[in-house]
Amino acid sequence: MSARPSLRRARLGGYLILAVFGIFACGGNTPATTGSDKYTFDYANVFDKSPTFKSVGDNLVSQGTQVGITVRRSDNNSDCATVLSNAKVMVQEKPDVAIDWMGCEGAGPAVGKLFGDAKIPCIAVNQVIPGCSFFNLVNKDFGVQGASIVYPLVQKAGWTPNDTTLILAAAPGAGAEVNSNSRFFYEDLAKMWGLDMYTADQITDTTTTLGKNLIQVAGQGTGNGPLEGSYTALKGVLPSIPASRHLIVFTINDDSGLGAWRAITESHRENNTMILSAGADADGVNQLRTNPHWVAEFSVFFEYWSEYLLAMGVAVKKGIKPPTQTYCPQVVLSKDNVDQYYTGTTPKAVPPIPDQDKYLIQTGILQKFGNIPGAQ
Amino acid sequence: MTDALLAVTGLSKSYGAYRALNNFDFVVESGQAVSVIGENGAGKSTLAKILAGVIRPDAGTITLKGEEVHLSSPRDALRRGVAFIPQELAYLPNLSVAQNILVGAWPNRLGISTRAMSIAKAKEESKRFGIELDVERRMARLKLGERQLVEIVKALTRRARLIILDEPTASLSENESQILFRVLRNLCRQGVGIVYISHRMDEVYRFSDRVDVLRNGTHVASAAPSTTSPAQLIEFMLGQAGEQLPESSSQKSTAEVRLALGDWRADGVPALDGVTLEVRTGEIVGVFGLRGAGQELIAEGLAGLHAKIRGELTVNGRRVRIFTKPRQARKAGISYVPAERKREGLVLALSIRANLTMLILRQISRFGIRVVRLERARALELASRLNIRYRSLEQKTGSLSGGNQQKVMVGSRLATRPTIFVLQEPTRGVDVGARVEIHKFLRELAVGRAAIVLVTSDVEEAVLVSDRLLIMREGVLVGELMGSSKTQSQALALATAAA
Amino acid sequence: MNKQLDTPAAPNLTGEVRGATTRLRRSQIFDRSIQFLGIGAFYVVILIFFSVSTPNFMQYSNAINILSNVSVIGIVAIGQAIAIVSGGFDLSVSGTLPLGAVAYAALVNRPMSFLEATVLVLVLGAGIGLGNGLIITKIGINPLITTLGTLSIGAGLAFTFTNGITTPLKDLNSGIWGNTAFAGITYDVIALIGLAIVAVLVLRYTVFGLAVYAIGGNREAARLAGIRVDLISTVVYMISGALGAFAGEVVTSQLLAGTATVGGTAALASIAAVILGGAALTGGEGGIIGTMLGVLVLGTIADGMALLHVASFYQQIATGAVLLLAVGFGRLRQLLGGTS
Repeated sequence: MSARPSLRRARLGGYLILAVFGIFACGGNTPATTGSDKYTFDYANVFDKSPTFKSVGDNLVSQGTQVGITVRRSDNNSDCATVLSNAKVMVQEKPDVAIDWMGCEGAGPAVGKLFGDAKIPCIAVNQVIPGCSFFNLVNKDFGVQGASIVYPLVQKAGWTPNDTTLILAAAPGAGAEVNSNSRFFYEDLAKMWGLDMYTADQITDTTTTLGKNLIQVAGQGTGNGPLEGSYTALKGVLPSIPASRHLIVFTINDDSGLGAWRAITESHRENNTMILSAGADADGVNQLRTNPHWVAEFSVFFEYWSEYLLAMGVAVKKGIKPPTQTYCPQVVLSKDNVDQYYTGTTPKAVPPIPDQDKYLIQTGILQKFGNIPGAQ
Repeated sequence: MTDALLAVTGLSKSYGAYRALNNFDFVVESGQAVSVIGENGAGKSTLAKILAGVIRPDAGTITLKGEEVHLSSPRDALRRGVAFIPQELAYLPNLSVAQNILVGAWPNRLGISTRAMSIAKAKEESKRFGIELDVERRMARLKLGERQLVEIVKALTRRARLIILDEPTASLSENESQILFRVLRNLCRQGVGIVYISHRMDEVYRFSDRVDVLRNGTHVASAAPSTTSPAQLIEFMLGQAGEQLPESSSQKSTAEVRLALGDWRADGVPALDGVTLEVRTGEIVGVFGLRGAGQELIAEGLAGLHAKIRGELTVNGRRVRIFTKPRQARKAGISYVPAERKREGLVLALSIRANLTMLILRQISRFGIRVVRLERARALELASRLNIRYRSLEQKTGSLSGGNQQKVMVGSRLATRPTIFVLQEPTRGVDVGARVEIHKFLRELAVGRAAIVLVTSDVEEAVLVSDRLLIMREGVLVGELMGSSKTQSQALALATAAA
Repeated sequence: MNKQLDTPAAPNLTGEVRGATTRLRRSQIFDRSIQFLGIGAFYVVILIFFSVSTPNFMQYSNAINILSNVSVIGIVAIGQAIAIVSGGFDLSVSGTLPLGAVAYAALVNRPMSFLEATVLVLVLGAGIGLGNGLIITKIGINPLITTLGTLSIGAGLAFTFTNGITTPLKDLNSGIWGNTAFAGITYDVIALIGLAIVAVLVLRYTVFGLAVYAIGGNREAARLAGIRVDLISTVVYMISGALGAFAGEVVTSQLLAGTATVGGTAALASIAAVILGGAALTGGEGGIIGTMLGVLVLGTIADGMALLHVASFYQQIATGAVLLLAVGFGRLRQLLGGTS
């Protein structure tokens, strides 16, 4: 007859927890996947809630099957804790190659250590992981090319630096490299056009306004995603800008762009605005074609990332050492050149393989799909 | 400088323009039991709270055994030996009885305190005071009367020299009250002073050495019970003559039977062991018994709150199945006023208007939307009929005094224009003025051809208000009193099997 | 009125009470254990489910992973449990955590010794908790609004403190909590277990612990009994704040970098774990062991679903459903047991 029900409860609970982990300890380890040329890759995607990003994972799985590679996927949800736990799971599963698009700026070293300690070859996408090969776009080019597209357009429209404001819907917290697109856009356009001069370095994550022409907002959003995030951010900042001022809105992905555009139209400022976006998903390319104010769409040809990644994976597994960065295909689409690369909203042609990437030709993977000029 | 246990002079407290206590003088000697009575708002609670250190007076002095004190907090008051047992018991439901008794003063060594320590100490203390309690039980499991006893032991454990009790027997059965009084008398013999705030005349007489009357914050009378009559005391309290109800008829009514219960039985605690009764139009039938006698089941069964009663039920001449849901009772035309107004009868956070019209929403709405004009009209009508005292109909019901809250609850039931009214403990925790009004009102209802079942554990009320008084004991009806035989002593005798 | 009432002899009421007591007491213990074992049994069901679904689950390394994954939220949940038992709750941990995370990185990079940095982080968290406590007890704003406010302030501070930039740890060894102690077990798990044990002992065997339960059970009663309710509440919030900041330090050690984007879900997840473990949101009930069980349930489900490569949308739905099931399971057994 226990006189202490609470103590008894505690003991029961303690035993339970111990027993549970005892059971765990008895379990053995699964053998690593073996197989000649039948590889297994693990892929952790940045944010499955966004269709654009999700498609990269989808393609990896389907194209992988075509070349005999099994791809298992997980979702990092752009959350640091999830990135870590997914990486641990990947280490558990012992893939041939681990491909990780983190979405958490700081987790690089920790994730790199996990893969390194487990001796799993790895590829980092878009954010650096020490010890892993690196695949990324060059954000600066988006900004620079974007500026050269916009400059003639604002001249033709008769806008001047005194009556125009640039709104950069950037991604604070995502790091300097990711944000170099918006910052170099401003720097180059300022040089060309005579806006209040600020270099890319001077625009930081906490910048809100600089001079008479620059406003920066957070286009990313957290948890709810960039669509809501930039919508809210733009809605918040638009009332402070006189309705007569011309606007150039720079967004860094299509969800963000759509959200920003919705805010613009709700404020009835469409006729006074030019917008640039990135990602080239169906909505983005559509807007480029049909919306007179949507002037540039940065395409990194997400549809082709999976081929490149699969090729990289095979290269790494075979012991070929990739360069510091493997470039993804990219071009800034404008109304003039969109038909060159796209039919409707589907890409029909992709820029030729960048020089740095030519080491991938040895793997033969790209050739199997026959899409990349220079690797067919 | 007197050597009395407690001496208070010139105590005053105001809340804004409202004077709660006005120049109050008061003396309690060691071993003396003093009752403080008065209407609601007379200042009794304020006095108790000041003495307990919960609030501070605006003016006046308090001396304990000749030493002037300024009580800054309950902790401070406790330290000086003044313990307060509020009406709403302040206990910790999830701790054990032992831990409750010793709350705030748990036995410990360097801050470490184990269950065993508390249990041992609590056992020791309750033995000391001759009160037997199972100290290991969880407090939430105790019955109300037992909880009260725990509160008392708690106060005593703090070596209280003066204990203030606020309406302690409001929720106790006769038995439990007896035990309480026995304990308190023991304490008086040991030199502890008791200040006893109550509405119940009979207790005041049974128990105190002196009765003090408060009216509107002023001390208007002080006398020993043996030298005064209840009527005089009521006069002092109200400033007018006390409750006079017209004599009820001493003959059995011959109107048609509205409600008939046939051989009701229920298992469990309390049980019903075959109860048969009738209520006719225009009659007030009282059902009185001690706690656990089963009269609560009659009320709950008629209200549709008790699913497991077997027996026959005839309402307005039609045989029906005993209600298993309150909705059925309402449909049959029975209106039920529950015992615990705060928990079961009112939504305290809503306005008076909302509470009054809660049961008749359909009547005051069009297409699902409340028509405020209609609502207000009905509410005004009900409020004036029951003489509810309020500042505005929009006032939160929770801010009213107990008596007025009760009237709101009765009013909300009245709104449904019932033909049969079932009330349980209708004047519990209600001041004398409101009590009188509610009783008068019930009589009016009866004259207006309603049939009323009044279930109560207040013997005075039972005798005063009912035309016919049925006594229950251990699940059966043991007597029916009418006319001259309908007295409190007869009722009690039957209820306790002392007859 | 007839005042000379003959009072009938009072029967031995307490004697009857005693008899009923022993009967009820046994069923009372039985019924509380059922409640508790409800979650435990449910956990066993989950374990069985996952272990048959994927071979990677029932492995020592996976067990370590789960423990390491839940260590951060577990530490927060300890503080949250104490706060909830005391009748309040602390939403601000979602701000204190990132603040502690970036503060630790910045301090340890100065360089500052691990010990000094840790102490400062704890002080920072306790300071925020002190703010919470004072606002709630002295100014009287309710815990929901207060801790929501400090949440925003804390999270915002974390961002401005670093300009939104991630601060990698210069010396990887200063991320001690992420290092392995023995047998693959990392120090963060050891910290969690250690803190849990201390919390259990304090709540159960000290006057402070009793006072916390008392305040949660009935604050007014505790006050009337002379317990310093305001002081104790404030201390409780300080503990919760310190633990929240410490959890941030642990995250930084795991990530090897201080970033302000962590901790967003800490508040709700910790509250969920505490309630899952049997606490009442109104206070006065619950405990650390139940909370740890709750944390484990949530962490195990997340881990299992990751191993099964369940799409993340389904993970969210599944977690919610499991929460309802787990609480319902315990409640069902309660109802079947017959008593409330």
